[in-house]
Order: sequence, then C-alpha cells, then structure tokens
Amino acid sequence: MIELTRRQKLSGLGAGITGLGGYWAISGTGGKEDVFTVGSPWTPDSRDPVVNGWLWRRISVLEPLLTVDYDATVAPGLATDWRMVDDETWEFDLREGVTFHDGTELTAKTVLPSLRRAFDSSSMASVPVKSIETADNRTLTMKTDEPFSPLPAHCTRGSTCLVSPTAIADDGSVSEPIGTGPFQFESWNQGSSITASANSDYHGENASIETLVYEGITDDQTRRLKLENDELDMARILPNETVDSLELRDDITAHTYQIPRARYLVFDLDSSPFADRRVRRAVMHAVDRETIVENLLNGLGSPAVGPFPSDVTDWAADDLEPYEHDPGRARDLLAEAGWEPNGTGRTRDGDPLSVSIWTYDTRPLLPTIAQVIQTQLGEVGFEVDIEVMESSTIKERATNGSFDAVLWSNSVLWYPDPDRLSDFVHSETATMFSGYENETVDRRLEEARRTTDRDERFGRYAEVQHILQRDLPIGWLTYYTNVVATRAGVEAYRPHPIESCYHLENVTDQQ
Amino acid sequence: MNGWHLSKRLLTMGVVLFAVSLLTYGLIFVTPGDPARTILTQQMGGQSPSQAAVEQFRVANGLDDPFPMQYARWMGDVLRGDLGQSYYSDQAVSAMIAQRLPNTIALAVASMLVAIVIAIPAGIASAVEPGSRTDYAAQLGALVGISMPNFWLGYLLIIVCSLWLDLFPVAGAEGPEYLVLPALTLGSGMAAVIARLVRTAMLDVLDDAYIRTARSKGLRERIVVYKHALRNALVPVVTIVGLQLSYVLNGAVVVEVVFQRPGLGTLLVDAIFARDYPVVQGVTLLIGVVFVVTNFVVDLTYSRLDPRIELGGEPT
Repeated sequence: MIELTRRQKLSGLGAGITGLGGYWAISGTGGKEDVFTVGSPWTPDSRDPVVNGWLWRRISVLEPLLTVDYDATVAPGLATDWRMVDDETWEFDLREGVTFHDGTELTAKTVLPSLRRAFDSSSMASVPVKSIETADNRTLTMKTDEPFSPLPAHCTRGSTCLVSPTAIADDGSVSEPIGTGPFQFESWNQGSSITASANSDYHGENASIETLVYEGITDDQTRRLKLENDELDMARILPNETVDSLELRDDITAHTYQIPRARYLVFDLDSSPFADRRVRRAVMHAVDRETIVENLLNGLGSPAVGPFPSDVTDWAADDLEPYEHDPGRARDLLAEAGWEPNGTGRTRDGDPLSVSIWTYDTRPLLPTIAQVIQTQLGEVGFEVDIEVMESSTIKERATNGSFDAVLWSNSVLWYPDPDRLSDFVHSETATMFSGYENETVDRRLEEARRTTDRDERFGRYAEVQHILQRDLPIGWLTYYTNVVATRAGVEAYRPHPIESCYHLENVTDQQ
Repeated sequence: MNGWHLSKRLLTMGVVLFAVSLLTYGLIFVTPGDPARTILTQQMGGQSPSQAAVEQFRVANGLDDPFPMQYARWMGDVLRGDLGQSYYSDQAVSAMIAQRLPNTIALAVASMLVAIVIAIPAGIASAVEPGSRTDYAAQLGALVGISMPNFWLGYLLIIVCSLWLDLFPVAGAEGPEYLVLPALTLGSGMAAVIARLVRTAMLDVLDDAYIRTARSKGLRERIVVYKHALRNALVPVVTIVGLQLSYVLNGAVVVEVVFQRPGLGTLLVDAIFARDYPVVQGVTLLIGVVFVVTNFVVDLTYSRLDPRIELGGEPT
C-alpha cells in the first residue's frame, strides 16, 4: 500500500518533470508483498556460470557438485558422496531425483557438458583435471594429472556450477542459468538485478520465499538507505560504522560474523629494506593491530595471527606465536639490522629508512589503515609514503618490478581448502608477489596436495604456517567481519562463513 | 546550409570519430593493468588467477596479438556493424549499451529539463534587475548549486524526500518516480552554470541598440525581454547546454551509483576498471557520436535563433 500512497503524492509533485522527461518505462510494483529483495555490492554481469557462477550460487539458482557447510568444510551437493579411487582418479556419486529447472533429469550424462566446460575454462586452469567421464548413470569419474587432494574443494566453486545441457549453445556459450537450485531464473537486467522464483520441484526443502530479487547496489549508503526505507529485505556488506545505529532500530536486525578474509602486508623480499627479515619483524611489532580493530573497524574484526582465523576454520595452526605490539622490540630489531637513529628517522650507510606502501581503495578502509600504519611505523623510525593505486596496477607493477610493501585484502579460504596457501607463498604458483622462496614450504605444500589424509595434511599446513610466521613474507594484520542487516520480520537467516551461499531458501519473511 | 558544407561536416565527423577510437584504444593499451588478469580476478570472485589461467585467457581472446592487429580487428568488426562481445558479460556490447541507453537518455533529458526550468527564469530575473535582491538570491543559489557535490546532494535528497517525507523511493530504475531525485541532483548543478550564463548573456543583449529601439517603440517590457532579448541571448546558452552534455555523462556516474540506475556512465567506468576493452570502445564510440551530432545540432540551432548566422557562409 505504501507504493500507492507514494505514487499519489508523486503525481502532484514530480509527474510534470518526469512526464516531460519522456520516460517510457512502465512502473510495475504491484504484489511486492511476496517478493524478497536482497541488495549486495556485486552486480550480476553474466549468466554464464564460469564467469558469474559464484553469484548464481549465492542466490541458490545454480548449484555445484559439492557445497560448503557452516564449518567451512566441503559437504554434499549435487554429488552425495565422493572418494579418491586411486592417486589420480576420483569418483562422485550423483544425487537421485534431481531435475534441472527445464525438467531435464540430472544424470552423469547430463552434467558432463557443463562440468567439462567448467574445467576447460580459464577460471579453473590451475586445477589439474585431465578428463571427466561417466562411470555409470549416477557416477562420474574425474582424472587428474597428478594426485590432487584439493579437488573436492574446487568442485564447490561458482565456476563449476552445473547447468542443464540445453542451456549450453552450440558455440559453447551459456546465456540462461538453468540450474537445479531452490530458486529458478526468471529475468535479469545485466549489471543491476536478477529475479528468480521458487522452484517447486527442488530436490530439498522448498523455499518459503516465492519471488527473490537480487539487486547489485555498489554504493554502501544506498544499500543501507534502501533497507531503512523498506525497499530491501536484506542489505549485505554494510560499513562497520553503521552497526551501532542499525542496532538501535526495532525494524532492522544486524548480523555480524567473521569470515576467512584478511588484510595483510605483502613485503618485497628482493629489495631493501624488507629483504631483511628483522625489518619485516620490526614492522609487525610496530603496528598496533588492536588499535586498528578498535578505532578503524569499530571493534568488528580481530587482529590476525596467521593466515587462517581459528574461529572460522580448524585449518589454523595451533599455538602460532603472534607478533605483539612492542615498539621497543621493533626499534631493537631495526638497530640490529643496522638502521641507526638519525634525527627523526633512521639511516644505514647514509640511506634513509624510507618505504612506500601501495594500496587500493576499492576495498573500504585500506587507505585509512595504511595511514595508521604510516604513523605507527613513523614512531619507530620508518619514513612511510602511501600510494593509492588501482589494484590491477599494483599487481602489474609489483609482479614486474621491485616495491616495498603492498597492503592487500583477500579471502584466505574462498574455496574451502588450505591448499589456498600455495597461492600466497609457493615459489612457483603464488599469485602474491613477495618473491618468497622456501624449499621446505614448497615441498610441504606439494606433499599435502598428494594426500587425502586429514591429519597428514594438517601437519604439513601447520608446519608451513609456523615457517611463514617466522619468515614473514606476508604480515597478517586483521581478519574481516561482515555486516548483513535484514528487516525485522526476516527469520532463520544464518550467515555463511565463506558466503558461498546466502541460503535464502531457508529464510522466512513474516511481513 | 549547402550540400558542400554538409559533406564537409560529415567527413570531419568521421575523422573525429576515428581519432577518438584510435586514441581510446591506444590509451587503454598503455594503461597499466592486464585485462586477462583483471577479468579473471572478477570471474573468480576477486581472487588472483594463476599464470596458467592468464595465458589461456590471453590466447582465447586474442590479447596476445600486437596492438595494430587488435585494433584493426576491432575496427573491421565495427565497420561491419558489430561492436563485439564483452570479455566479462555473456552479452554483446551493443546489447549492453541498448539496455542502459534508455536509463541514460531519461536521466539526461530529465535533468536537462530540470536545469532549464530552473536556470532560464532565474537568469532572466537576475538580468532584468541586476543588483536587486532577486539577482543576489539567484546568484547565491547558483553558487550553492555549483559547489554542492552530486553525491552529497543525492544523499540529502534521499534522506529528506524518501526517508522523512516518503515521497519517492530511495533508489532503483523501475518507474518514473525513480527518476525525480536523480534528475534534481544532476539538474541543479547544471542549472547553476546555465543560470549564470543566461544572466550574462541577457545583460549584454539588454544593452543593445535594438532593445532600446524596441522599448522606445513602446513595446511592453515583457515582450521586449522574452521576445527580443531572450532569443538572442540564447545563442551562447545553447552552446553551453550542448557542452553540458559532457557534464550529464560525467555527473551521471556519481548519480547512477548513488541512485542505483545502471546507465552508460557506470557501464563505461566499470568497463575501464575491469579492462573490458570491447565495452570501453563501444561506449566511447557512442559518446563520440553523441558529441559530434550534438555539436552539429547546436550549429544548426544558431541559424534558427539568429538568422544572421549562416552556416558555411563567409564570416560576416
């Protein structure tokens, strides 16, 4: 009813301008009561699962072979069971009684085109899958080039979401996300919104929400204002500082939860001064991470110890020694490394201790955190210069040349396997650019890939985490806490630790 | 306007558009940031792709070819009427543009109307009685309008008109009611510029001999101002309104983001950040065409407003 009142008021005020404006779109806002609208910063850009599958998976339109549970571990999905048959062969048992949204039955044969297409794509290029075949009607066989225990975790990724064979055109393109999820695709506006409806033939429990609208709203404040004005039922990833004022409202519930994502400094190990481990350690002792969490993150988030937050995942190594805030220790380490006080700063052989921190501003707060680090490092004698650039520029410059340190933010477990550490520190496959080379680390990471035994893997990843803590190619600063707010009538929403799915099929809306 | 002039203009337009496309292609080429890496990062939900993935993507999309070859290939497609395929979306560039163009046109037209409706009366009122209270009020308003950042005015309007008064929705692009606040936000900034220009132009014209003549003939002040003076004062104003089109497209990015209206501005900016070359090229080309055509129309308008201006004729 609000819509109508609004329009009546409007007709007196704004219709003149808009009418003259030649706007031809028809406004159809009727029946909004049954619609659940979620606003998130990410815009829907493609209907192709290889490109945008992670988004279609989040809104439960597409589903992958395997899923991620609330403990951030691999769980059954469209495959109910999976096993390593020999070193290089895996088998997946497909769920029975599943149909795609177009009515096609899910069998080994019907998932094959979609799965092969996914593993052939650039997104999955680092996963050494050699072949995918059908063993029988309900069983798939995947062969890898080498023993590769993280394979199940990669089978949860958005790019591997399954679409019906009818969705794949002759040229291999996909332009309709015909999946198996509790919601099915109805329509979209590229770059802005998606409408989906409940799938009454879902293989699990049917959704109580009838129509789901996903809106990509890049602006934080707009998401928040739309939620306050009842235009959204759920607003995702709001700024930390909004929590206090949202919690004061009876009509809004704010959820805060830690995710396995970290802010960290990547040091250039190939150039002075960070080639010297003592200087890197000095940085970690000089930075007061508690202060950053309290003052900049509004108390949401926590100081990082190693790469993995132990509250979210049990892949975090036990008893990692944190670098305590200790400016005195930082000064000693710098002096040991030959950087002697000189005026307000420090010098070694006449060279000043000056470093440049590169960061980017598409993730909120990074430049502000860089400023705090600048001040705190300044207190122990560093002269710090901050450069804010585009993230792709940083990657390119840091990969191809020398730098000092980069303040970056990334998920440490975006697919639920600690092999993710290879992306950070393996000397050959790392996508971070520290230039770190450690034979033991490389070997342990490779060994852990070759075994599926959890304890054996954990031992190796724990060892790697301990070595990294000592060597510090990357200085872990803080973990992330997400803020998601819903209208008060929204019930049974449970935040997912790696956000692989919003699970809106479980949510009810009382209003 | 004669045929010779027209063909000369059309030729120039072609050359300008070619230069624009070559320049943007060249600029994006020297901009740091590897498209393969950037696009894969987006595909992987913000994670860094492996080197193997980057190589595979480069080859698949012809990004390993040298610049002239890539440009020639793109230009060849454009000449055949194909703007190409986005690297990132599953859609053709032309489809992406077609989807957003209505939003952009609606916003441009509505905000231009807001601007003109505010600016011309305000400018005239200022000019008719320079130094009066009306004049000062209008000038102060213009100063505020120019100084106020778009995003700030946008939030202000949302908080007042949507949250407090419940007149309009906060953001979106569904119906006409969604257009009011963005048009006011964008239009008020332009109104300020145009109002000041109208004032200056009117002051100039009101001093001219033919206005004295008109007045001494005993014509009513209303007729003198609106019929005789305004028409002549509009020549420079039309030029600026044409140029303001660039402001609409620039300012539109902020307004499109705040009011969640997918349009060409955000499409272009997002594509630049994503290194989605085909989209950048397509939108730039379209904007180029719009500018060239607008300038042409503005030229035509001159001679309609002031018949002494003859297009393509000898300078008088």
